[in-house]
Amino acid sequence: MSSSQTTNQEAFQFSISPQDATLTEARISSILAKATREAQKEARADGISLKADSSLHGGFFGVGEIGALLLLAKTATGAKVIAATSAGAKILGKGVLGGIGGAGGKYFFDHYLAPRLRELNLLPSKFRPANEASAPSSKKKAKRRKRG
Amino acid sequence: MSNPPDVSFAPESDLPAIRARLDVLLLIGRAARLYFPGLQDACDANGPPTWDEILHTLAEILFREMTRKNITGIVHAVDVWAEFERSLTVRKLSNSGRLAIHRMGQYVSDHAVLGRAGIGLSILAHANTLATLWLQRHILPHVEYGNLTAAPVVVEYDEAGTQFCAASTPSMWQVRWTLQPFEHSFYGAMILPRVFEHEYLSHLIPLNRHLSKGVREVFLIDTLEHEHRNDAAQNPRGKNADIKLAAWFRVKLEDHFCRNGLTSRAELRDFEDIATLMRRKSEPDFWRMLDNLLTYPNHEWNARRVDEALKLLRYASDEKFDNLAIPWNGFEAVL
Repeated sequence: MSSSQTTNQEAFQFSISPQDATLTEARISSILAKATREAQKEARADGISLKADSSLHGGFFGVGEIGALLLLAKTATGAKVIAATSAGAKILGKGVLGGIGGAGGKYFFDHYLAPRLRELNLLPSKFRPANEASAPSSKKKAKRRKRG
Repeated sequence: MSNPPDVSFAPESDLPAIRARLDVLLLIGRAARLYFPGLQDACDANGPPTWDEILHTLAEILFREMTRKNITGIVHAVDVWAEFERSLTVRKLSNSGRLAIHRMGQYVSDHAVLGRAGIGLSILAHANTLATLWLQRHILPHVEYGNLTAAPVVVEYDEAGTQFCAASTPSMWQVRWTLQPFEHSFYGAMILPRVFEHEYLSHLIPLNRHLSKGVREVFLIDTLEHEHRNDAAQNPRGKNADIKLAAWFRVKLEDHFCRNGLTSRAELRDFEDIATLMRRKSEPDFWRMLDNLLTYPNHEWNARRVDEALKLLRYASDEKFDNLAIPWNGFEAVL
């Protein structure tokens, strides 16, 4: 991907749980790359000019899960488009406008990337900024379940 | 195949493989339920293996293949069935037992074809309709409740089995039905209309949102079971099969949820037998009690009073029970 117009870049991580035993790691990697390209294309069609790149990484998230990394970069032209579009501002929230931030990254993930991965039998979850602490401990999880 | 309008997948569970798992579970569940009376007769007449051992083996193979992600299309129901037929438990069956298994397998292979993909959603929709019709005919005429409309169903997948297997939201008038790869889900798949009846009677219809698990998961389920037992319109063999399977569903479900801490056996035991006992003593008073329960105002304090009254009745002598509950004058009168 071209980086000449990149103004900033943020990294996010998430996990992928393949739901089809015949999917190899190479195939998952290829599906992820293709889904990310298509997600970026659709986001651009909606006036959100972000550059997205993703890859698998060796992080351990849980049994049967593979760690993945998503890099999002806002282009200079994209920044102008986003800043000028009040509707976009409402939808994406201040995260995108002030950099990509957690809210903007999550929006891209939830609305453009995750549905594509699900269509291809890859179940994505645990999306968070890459610099954020890992998933809550099992003790905390149990407490949350009881409340629910 | 387009989805029936009132059943859909939650977005986070809407994967082709999960749709296939739903198809396979509900197709095999339907086949097993259809020929269950024959299997039960064969097992009862010829000794071990018992029918629950047979169903346990089937559920074990099905959910193992599910969690290994080997089920990605409805056609995989045939593979699951083939492995089940090869199992030692099935091979130990008498000829009549194997005949029942063969018939179930024939049903599975007839329906496990690509053109039937999506059958799981249709089975859920059908069960939902059957449940509302049955409640309208058998329970609601006895209580002051208007027309019951079928709630939309949202399907979720919970591989860890940490959620409830179904959950209803009265404010949205919606049932969330959860596919969990555990044995209780297989029994649930065999008696789906019962599962929906429970969701309506225990979770959607009562006005009080604070009713305890004991009231919802024991007293109101006993109410359903007793009414089914007395449903003269239902074919006796089918009725007996459903009662037996529903009882096993409850056992498996309780085991599962006690294991993962979502419920405790102690809070359930205090509510057993009351519905049956009350109904046997006086049917009109029983229906008055049920009407009272379903329309009790929505306040936590009221739910606690219901619990206290039912617990008192649960352990009362016959004489005391009659003095407190017949004629039925409301929960406050019991206390």
